[in-house]
Amino acid sequence: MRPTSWLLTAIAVATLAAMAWGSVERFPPPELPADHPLPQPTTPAPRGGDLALLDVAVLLATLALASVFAVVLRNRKLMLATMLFSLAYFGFYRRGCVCPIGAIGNVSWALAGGYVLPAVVLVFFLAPLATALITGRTFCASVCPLGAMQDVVALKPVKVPFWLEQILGLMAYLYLALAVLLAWTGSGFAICQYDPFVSFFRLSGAWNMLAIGVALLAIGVFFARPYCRLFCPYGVLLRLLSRVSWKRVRITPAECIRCRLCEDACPYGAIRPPTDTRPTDRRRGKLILACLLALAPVLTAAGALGARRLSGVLWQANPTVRLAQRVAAERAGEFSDTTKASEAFYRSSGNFEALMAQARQKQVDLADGATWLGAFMGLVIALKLIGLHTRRRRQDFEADPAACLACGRCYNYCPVHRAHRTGDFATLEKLKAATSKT
Amino acid sequence: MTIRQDTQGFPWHKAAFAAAAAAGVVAAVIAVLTGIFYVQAGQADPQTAPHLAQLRQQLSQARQDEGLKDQIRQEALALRLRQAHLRQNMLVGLWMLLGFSGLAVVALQVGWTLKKETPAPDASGEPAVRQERSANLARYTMIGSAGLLLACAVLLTLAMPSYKPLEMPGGTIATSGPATLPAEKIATTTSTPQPQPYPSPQPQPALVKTVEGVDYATTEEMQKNWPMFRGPGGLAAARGEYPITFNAKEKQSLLWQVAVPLEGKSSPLVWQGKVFLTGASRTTQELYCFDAKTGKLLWTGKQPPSRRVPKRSEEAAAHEEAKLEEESPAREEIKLNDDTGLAPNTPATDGRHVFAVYPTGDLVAFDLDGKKLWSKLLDIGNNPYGYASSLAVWRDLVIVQLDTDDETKSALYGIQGATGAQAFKTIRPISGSWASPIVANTPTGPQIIAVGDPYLMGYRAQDGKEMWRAEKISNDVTPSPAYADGMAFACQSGSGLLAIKTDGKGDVSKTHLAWQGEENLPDIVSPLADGQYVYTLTSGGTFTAFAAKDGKKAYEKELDMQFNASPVLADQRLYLLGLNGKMLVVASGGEYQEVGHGEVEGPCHATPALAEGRIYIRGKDCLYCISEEK
Repeated sequence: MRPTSWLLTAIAVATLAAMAWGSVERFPPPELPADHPLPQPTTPAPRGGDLALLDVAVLLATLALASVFAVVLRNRKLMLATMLFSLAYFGFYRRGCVCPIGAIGNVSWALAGGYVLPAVVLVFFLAPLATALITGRTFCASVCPLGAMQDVVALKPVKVPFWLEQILGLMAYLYLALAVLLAWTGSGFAICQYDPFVSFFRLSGAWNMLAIGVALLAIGVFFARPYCRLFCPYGVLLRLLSRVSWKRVRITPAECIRCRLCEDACPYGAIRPPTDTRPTDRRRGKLILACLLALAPVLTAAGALGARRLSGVLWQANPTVRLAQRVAAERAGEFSDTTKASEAFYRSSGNFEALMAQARQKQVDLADGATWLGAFMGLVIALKLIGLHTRRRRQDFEADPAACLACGRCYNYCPVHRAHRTGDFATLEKLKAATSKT
Repeated sequence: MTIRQDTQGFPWHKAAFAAAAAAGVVAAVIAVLTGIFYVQAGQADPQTAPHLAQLRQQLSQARQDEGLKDQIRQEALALRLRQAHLRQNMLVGLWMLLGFSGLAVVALQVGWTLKKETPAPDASGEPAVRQERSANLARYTMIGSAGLLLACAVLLTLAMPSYKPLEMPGGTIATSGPATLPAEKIATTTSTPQPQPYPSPQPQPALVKTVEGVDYATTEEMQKNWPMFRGPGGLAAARGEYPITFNAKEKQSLLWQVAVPLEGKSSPLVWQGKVFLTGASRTTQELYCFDAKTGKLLWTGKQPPSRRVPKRSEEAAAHEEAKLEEESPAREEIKLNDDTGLAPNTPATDGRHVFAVYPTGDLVAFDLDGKKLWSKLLDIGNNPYGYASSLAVWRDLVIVQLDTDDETKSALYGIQGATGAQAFKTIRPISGSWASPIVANTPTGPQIIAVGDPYLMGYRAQDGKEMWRAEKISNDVTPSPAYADGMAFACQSGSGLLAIKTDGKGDVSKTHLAWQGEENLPDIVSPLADGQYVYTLTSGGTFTAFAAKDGKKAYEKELDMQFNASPVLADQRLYLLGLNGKMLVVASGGEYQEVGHGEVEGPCHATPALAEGRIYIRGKDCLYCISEEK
């Protein structure tokens, strides 16, 4: 047996032993007499100090390794190994929590004064963002368990038209804005509540979320990482910061021979071609840009007004408003029964007037928040339009820093990379010649 | 031209695909098995199993059937074990499903990777131009989408009803319909498996026209007033100083004296310048509100008896009886002892409303201005002497102790003061009693403490959940409990005096029994605790002080008077009101020392109320206000 095999066997045995050591017997439950005083339900204690620090250490280590593997070593296999480890640790071991994506809700709630943000959650929220400023979206490539889940099933990815992805990608901005608004107003942590893959990590969950997770994985076979590209609210932040990252994934380690193999390798449509030609009609371009700039405040204002008008839809998302509406309706005799929430309210001897006041305040907060949400979406559309109109100068085929998930698939496709890795420059020269002929 | 030549030699990609197919088949089989486990685990749920539900139904018909209880326990245990076993299988199945699915996916990935040939470089076309076209297309599509979204928003705005903010009470919510809750629908907290519906034979108990917000008085407000039987919390202690010598006949320290229209043995309440008292005849039940400063009758809240009151021996008003029968021929007749009287239950106020209850089971609420808010008819069951427990209040809840001879009907109710909605109902394993509940802020939180045959019991005030119980108080339990410094005291002649620590759980008869007394036990008068001593007073006039911590008797004094009223404490003085209308004022402590005395015209059955420097005493057909104010 090879030393590697010995090592793997030892790790497997140690892992199993650790699992057995840490396990507890849950069943059968004791047979209790009828008058046994049942214990009061309690909120499970959060993960303790050392283990929480372990989570932070693992996060920082995986982020560091992923960055080194992606940007310095340019090694796809090591990145894959990191990704699978992260899937196992953050996904199946930590059961998808705490995660930077869900931390958006925590941070928003804390900023709204809802609670004191735990330091661990803050680190989970900030560390991938800080990494994105240094090496791009390496978190998405190798650390995010949600991304890893989808990456594994991306079997036959197809190219999606650029325009379609741009349009569908707006959903992520909307999701981000909604998640922040709902958390800010104490209406709930939507990102955690609608995490499509947490059912897999926990081997249990609501049927609807399981169905959404399965559907996303099924779509992910052909449209790689649909959640990351279309919905991920944290991806919006990473996308923003990656644009100005210090280092990032570069397809080729030397001069690009423009073979376009990387275009074929990238399942995310993140490769942008060089811009050799100059625009033919600069005056028209400037005119359009001016129109788009003028359109920006219009779209922002229209979004704000429209969203404010429709903010009533959001009221239903707030438990206080829902409870107040229900209690008011019950008091008005519209219902002949009670809900769990209204019953709890009555039993807690709640103050109806105070409940109504709280609910009305929440409605005001949600209406104000919806206004900001609409303005944000209008601004995003306007900026997208301006971005699509603006030409960026590119000498070679380059990965779009915002769209590139730093997976490193393009490395092994790139003949220049392979030549540098194997030292086979003769084949590279042949390819150069073939490329120049075509 | 290709870069890799993996397809030459052994077709590894085919092996990978075969492995993927095999793993996929195994995963599918595991998925089916796991699904079967899931369905079976659902069927083995003790909460929903039809057979168990049937047994529970049977138990509701025969509550004392111990054999049936054992059978239910055994079958529930067997089901739980089976469910746990199936869930364990399901968990293993899920892990295997995950593993084989992952294996299949990885094998497919490997297969595709091995099979795929890296395409030849293709530098044809003009990618930059194509990219620009794509960007243009994206821009136009985005503008189109934004326009479409705006159009949709406008249409939705026009089509959808506008959302109105929630309206505050007093607006449409308050006036658009009956404003009480469907009390029958609220789940109850019971110590028996079968929940009992709240007894409300009235088809629509909602009488409220305008809903007030649920509001309650602060502890400070309660302490300043005398809101229920024996004052704040029922602890028989008042703030401030009070006259120690008075004589109503000689107008000494008599602020006013006013006739009470109808008879009763209930005690007065005091709330911010108003004094409340009940009285009743066989045709009406009344709550009176007097001005505390002048004694002027401000308003009378009337409630016709919903049940028929039996004739008393000296009464023979045949025409009145005939009139009643004509009005409500179907009314049932209650049992009522002459000694109990027609209005023995002391009302209560939460500072926002005032509640009165009568032996007929009528529970009625008024606002402080005499406006009737709601009424309910309690299922008083069979009570040989008549229902006589007084009401208690905690925050906005009115607490009703309803002990009947039928143990399955005895219960402690919490009712929302503003609406009359039932907040909780806790079945009490108690036969009929005539004691009243008290509310104490114990170290483990606010508790309602109630006594009956055979238990002294503590309930969590928020939801009425039973916290502890202690045996054994027996016979016709009439004295209400007392409380001080984490200890509850209860007594009954022929039974014993219990001192129980209130921080226990479950049956604390042995674990939390501080001490037990056996002599000079009262039969009517409630004990009083001041933290150092517990004072008991028999109806025959034996007054005794026990040390609160160990039950050691400090003194015993024969007072040569009859007593029905319970003692009250103020400014380290105990006010003992005799049946004959004479009041003894005794210093609290370990030695008997008379410090004052007073007199009104007896008989005095009701416990006096002390608030704002005035003593209110219900005497013969009169309410007296004793004060040194000029």
